[in-house]
Amino acid sequence: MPRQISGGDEPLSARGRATQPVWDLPVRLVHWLIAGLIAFSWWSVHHHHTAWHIWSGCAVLTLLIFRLLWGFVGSSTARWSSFVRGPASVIAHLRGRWNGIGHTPLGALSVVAIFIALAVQVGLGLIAEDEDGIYTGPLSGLVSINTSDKARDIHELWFNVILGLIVLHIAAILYYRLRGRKLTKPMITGRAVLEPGTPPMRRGKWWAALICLAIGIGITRWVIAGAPPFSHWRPS
Amino acid sequence: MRSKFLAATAACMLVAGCGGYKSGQANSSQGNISKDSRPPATANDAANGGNAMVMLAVPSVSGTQAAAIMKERHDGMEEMGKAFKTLHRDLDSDDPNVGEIRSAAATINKNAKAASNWFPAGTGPEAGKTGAKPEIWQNPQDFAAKLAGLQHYAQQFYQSALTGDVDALKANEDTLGGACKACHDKYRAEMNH
Repeated sequence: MPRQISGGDEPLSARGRATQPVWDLPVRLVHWLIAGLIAFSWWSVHHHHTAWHIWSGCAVLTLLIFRLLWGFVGSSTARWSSFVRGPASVIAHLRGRWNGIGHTPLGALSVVAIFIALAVQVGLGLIAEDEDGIYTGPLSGLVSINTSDKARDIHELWFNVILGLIVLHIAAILYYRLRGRKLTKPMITGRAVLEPGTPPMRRGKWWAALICLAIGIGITRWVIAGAPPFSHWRPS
Repeated sequence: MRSKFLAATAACMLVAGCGGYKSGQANSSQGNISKDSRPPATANDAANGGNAMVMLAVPSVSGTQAAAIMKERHDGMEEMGKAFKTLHRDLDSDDPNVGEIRSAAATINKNAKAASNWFPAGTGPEAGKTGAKPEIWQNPQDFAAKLAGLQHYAQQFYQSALTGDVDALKANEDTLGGACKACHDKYRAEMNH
């Protein structure tokens, strides 16, 4: 896309102030739903609502699968290929030589770290069981009692990793805020003021989002059913 | 417009996705607690007669005696937990091992009975590391009733295990788990060990 040049009397600054799409709806929904579900998971497990906690984890699993797939077929700023970059880009970004929309090269590392940390947490939860063996993750039947108990212990500890990443995430947002850039509002409205000449976001197809969601729900339901046919296998 | 449609459809699909998880175990045990927060007549009789009296009558302990009881309590609880996990897996599987369930049921029944002597005054957090909350000794009547509930359901489950009726066992597993949870939610502190 060619750099936009002010035409006629209209000043450049006024044109620059118009907002443009940065984050599509699926990205924003996934972001805020996961944020809410993390809080709910924490609350429910500490208030003896273990069944709700397990449901919450299943919902996170659905969203993670959806987001993984949307990262291949979604809008340009949602795609892994658009924001996961090598160390050279990260260094260029740190030196202030980066211009684009979507995740910065450094922010992308944070996104990937949070995504992996959540996937690990969900995976541990799926095979875990509670201290009394009353509540069991849907895949706990695939592992031994000892493994299941150990998974619960690590699941509990791993939450600290997620908390650490959330703290970093919020600290980065505050840092940008102090430097005059508001990142939260675009994650709500999906729009931001862009530097002139920044290539705009290319939107993904809405039906592609629905297919991704259907796959996410399908896989989650299969997991909830105990991942047949493997569920018939019992460790000795 | 399109984004609203997308959001609505996505929301519907998410809700639809919640249909499959068979957490009958967890749900019904919760339901059970709210439905009969008081154990049935037999358990109540036990609570009013035998066990409550036993527990309240047990003199307070200290020192090595307290430590010995706390150790026995901890080991017994752990043994019950393991037994419950074993029978839960059996009942979740396609071919439950009834022999395994029977021995797990016997373990739980034995420990549930022994638990009458596990909570004398002086075996709370003041005596050492324990998951037993001080609330146990602040609400002795309620605690004794809940313990009697456990003893009742443990006995009931054991009876079903002797007959080997898997459907009855599945139903009784929920009430037994509910009895564990009723007490643990209120009287057990979170413990890392």
